[in-house]
Amino acid sequence: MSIPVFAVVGRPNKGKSSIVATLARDDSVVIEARAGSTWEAREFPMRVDGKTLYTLVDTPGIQRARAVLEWLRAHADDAASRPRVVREFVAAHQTDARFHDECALLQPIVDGAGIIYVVDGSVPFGADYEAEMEILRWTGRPSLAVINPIDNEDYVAEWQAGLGQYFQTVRLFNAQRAEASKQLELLALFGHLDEQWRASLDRAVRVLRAEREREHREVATLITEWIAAAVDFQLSQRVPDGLPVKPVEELLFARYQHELQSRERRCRRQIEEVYHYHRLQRNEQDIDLEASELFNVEQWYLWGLDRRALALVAASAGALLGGSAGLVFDGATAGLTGGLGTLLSGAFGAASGGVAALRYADEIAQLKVQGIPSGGKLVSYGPSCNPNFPFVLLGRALLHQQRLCSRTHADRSDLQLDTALLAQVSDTDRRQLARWFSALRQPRGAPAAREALTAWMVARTALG
Amino acid sequence: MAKTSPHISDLYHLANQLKQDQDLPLEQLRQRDRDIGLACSAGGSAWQRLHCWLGAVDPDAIHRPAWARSASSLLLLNLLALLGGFGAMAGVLLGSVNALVNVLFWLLLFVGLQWLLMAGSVLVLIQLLRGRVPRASPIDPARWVLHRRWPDVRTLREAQPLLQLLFLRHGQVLGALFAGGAALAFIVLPAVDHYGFVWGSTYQLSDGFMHSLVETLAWPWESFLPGATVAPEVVSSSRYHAGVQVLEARRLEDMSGWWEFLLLVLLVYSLFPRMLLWGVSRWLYRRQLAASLLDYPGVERVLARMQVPLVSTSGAAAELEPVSGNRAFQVPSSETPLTLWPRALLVEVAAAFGENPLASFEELADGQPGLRAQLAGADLATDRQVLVDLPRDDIDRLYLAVKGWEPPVAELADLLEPLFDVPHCSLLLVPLPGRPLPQHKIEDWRAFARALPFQGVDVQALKPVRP
Repeated sequence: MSIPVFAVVGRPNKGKSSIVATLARDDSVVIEARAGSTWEAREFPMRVDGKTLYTLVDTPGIQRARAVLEWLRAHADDAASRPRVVREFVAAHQTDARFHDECALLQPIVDGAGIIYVVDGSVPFGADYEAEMEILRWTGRPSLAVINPIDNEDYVAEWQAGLGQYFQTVRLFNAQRAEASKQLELLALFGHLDEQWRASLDRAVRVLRAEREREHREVATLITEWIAAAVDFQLSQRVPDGLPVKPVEELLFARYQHELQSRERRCRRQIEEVYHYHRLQRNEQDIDLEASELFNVEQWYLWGLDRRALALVAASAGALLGGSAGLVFDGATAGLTGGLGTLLSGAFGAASGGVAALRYADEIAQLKVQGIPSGGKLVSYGPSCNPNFPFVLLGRALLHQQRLCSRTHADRSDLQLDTALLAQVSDTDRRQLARWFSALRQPRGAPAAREALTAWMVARTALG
Repeated sequence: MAKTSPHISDLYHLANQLKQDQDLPLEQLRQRDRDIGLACSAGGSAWQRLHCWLGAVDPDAIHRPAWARSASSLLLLNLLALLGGFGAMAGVLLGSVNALVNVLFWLLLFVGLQWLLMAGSVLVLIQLLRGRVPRASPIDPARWVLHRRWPDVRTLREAQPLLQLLFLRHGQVLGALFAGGAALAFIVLPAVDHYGFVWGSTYQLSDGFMHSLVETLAWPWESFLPGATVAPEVVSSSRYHAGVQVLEARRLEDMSGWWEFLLLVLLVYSLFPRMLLWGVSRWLYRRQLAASLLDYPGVERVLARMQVPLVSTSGAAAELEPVSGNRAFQVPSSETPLTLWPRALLVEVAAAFGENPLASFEELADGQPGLRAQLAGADLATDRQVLVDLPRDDIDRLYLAVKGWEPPVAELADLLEPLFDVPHCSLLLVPLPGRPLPQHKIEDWRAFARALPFQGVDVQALKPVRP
């Protein structure tokens, strides 16, 4: 059985490369607002363990449609000879620079590819398109038309009427914004062009769907590991006797900041790679651990929790902890205290948790100076005990992931990472997150907390 | 085939490898891990797959002697335990007054105390099995061994149950060696000297009680080793009174009749339980170690990469460099302001104006060109004929009205060839109703215009007349 091949054809600058980039999840495809960015056909095989399930071919835009059609008409005897005449045209003009683009786009079609004809739904249909559609009809290959509304959908209806006369199947597909499910729907539709291709395309869709779920899981794991590593991160430096400690403290803090910045960048790079992005321009601020930058109200609102939410979350965690202690006391007195211990210790835990959260909100970690028995001092910074810090990291990471998930590989705009996200998380989820973050700081509870946090993120991504 | 049972050194190899992998491109990791996954047996457990992966990515590490680093500390500790057991037994035997060893003291030291320590170990084991991790004793000698062998304990941060089991395992080995040393001394010293075993009357114990105690202790072997039990008369005659200064020879012989019994007590109640606990803790340790390896951050992704088919959708060809502008158009720009000329020809391409009258555009509102023609309305031959039929001598200026929202195509340049001797050509870009032309579209047309071999060309984006 032959491997399905689909040639994506159309006029220049109609979004052919965008569609290919989106379906092939390849941001190396050259996409420009200017016309004529593609001048050679380029194959994008979909492989599973080296076995090709289908191939997309990005082609140059048609430049001389009426000239080609004129040649074809001059050489065709009857309707049955049309596919042969198209082959003859390609063979006769392989070395003709004038018809280079036409030969490049027709070659895969005469070799057996299905046709994906792309038009721009934001500009009107015109009779001047008919020549190229006629050529495609002459090839005799199965085809479908895709309306790609590059700027808007003002002329989609017009196009649907016009294309309907040449193509049995016409689909609307926004290459810049199509979500994953729409992409898979379009791929599945390709399989319907030829009965022989259906099995391959159905399998490809299944594989890609599973791959998408695996990617979400992998990204959630990466984010969890990054947060766990960041809250546990600690730096130490020995200072010999007689040397001042202050410069070492400043150096240590700078190193701490630099290391976390590098790690966050690395985590983001890995996440982008998971989603097959290799050339993203990122528009964001670096994570800045300077108290004056990170712990101002605006930053909290942006990435982590504001003071009110932070106090609530910390109070909730404190109440739980205090209540547990009170429960033990009540249990030990066989309930003679009537639950008073649980009530009081819970209230005390809540109050102290909330106050502590606000009291230490502007300290990302504590600086410790300890004496060394053999002489000198050990200066250490971290690990972070700030309750908001993991929320800030999570907020930033989730926003980054959400932006990646909602864009396509045809989108060449900068990645904007400057809006609030954790504000959308419910109070219940925030409290749960606070408990997991607390557990992440404990060696014994870390594996279970990591798993729970990962599962939460996967579920959240699945919900969209 | 390398060993498949996990070793704590694997955690370190794993941590190092995962750290190195962080800097590698994901595509490379996917390819590598999938290849390893396919090469490893598909039916193995998660640990076996991970072990196979470790062996594949770092073959040297997996074959590296596990105890190479500071194994001497463990050896020293084990030797000390053996010597301690030997020394303790020798001390008890050699320090006994008149070579008479108090059986009860002996049992308390070499069985009772051991059982107390073993009870602690069993408690820890039960807690670990129930999922709780008790704190390790700060004076546990295994802690010293661990810190000497694995100085960077951060890799083991989350492996607290594992560390507990490691301490426990080493503890049982030390206990077993202590018991083994004691048993060795108990064999060697009585062989070179005569020792009697007695029990005192300090606590008013009856002969019957002692006999019952002996019978109970000897129950496991009395059926097949009757010689290793103590007869009631021997128990009675071994009763010791501090006031008795001279012992009969027969009683002395009876007193030495405890040796076989005590040796077996030592082996069965001290050494054997230690060995048993060692076996259990070793098994649990391996199981926990495998779990710790599989729980290590990053391992889940490695196993997934090994298992999941390698899916690739991207283009195989090298990256294509984007072109700057249209590659066919290289003539420099020479824009001139649009002014309608009486000897002008307006060519409307592909019905660019649509149903809009010319006067609806600011630039065309004040006048009409002398000649008009339409192109790209029918086939090429018709267009060519239209151009041939034009009164060429009456044309000094060409106005080419095109759909500004469409990209230029080479076919239009081909078609204009008969008009290239017209001195000047102005491209009029017609916009879509209600929508200004994007700058990149204008740039496309400018590039197209620059490539046309007219003496002068310019490009104007038409503006609709404001109502």
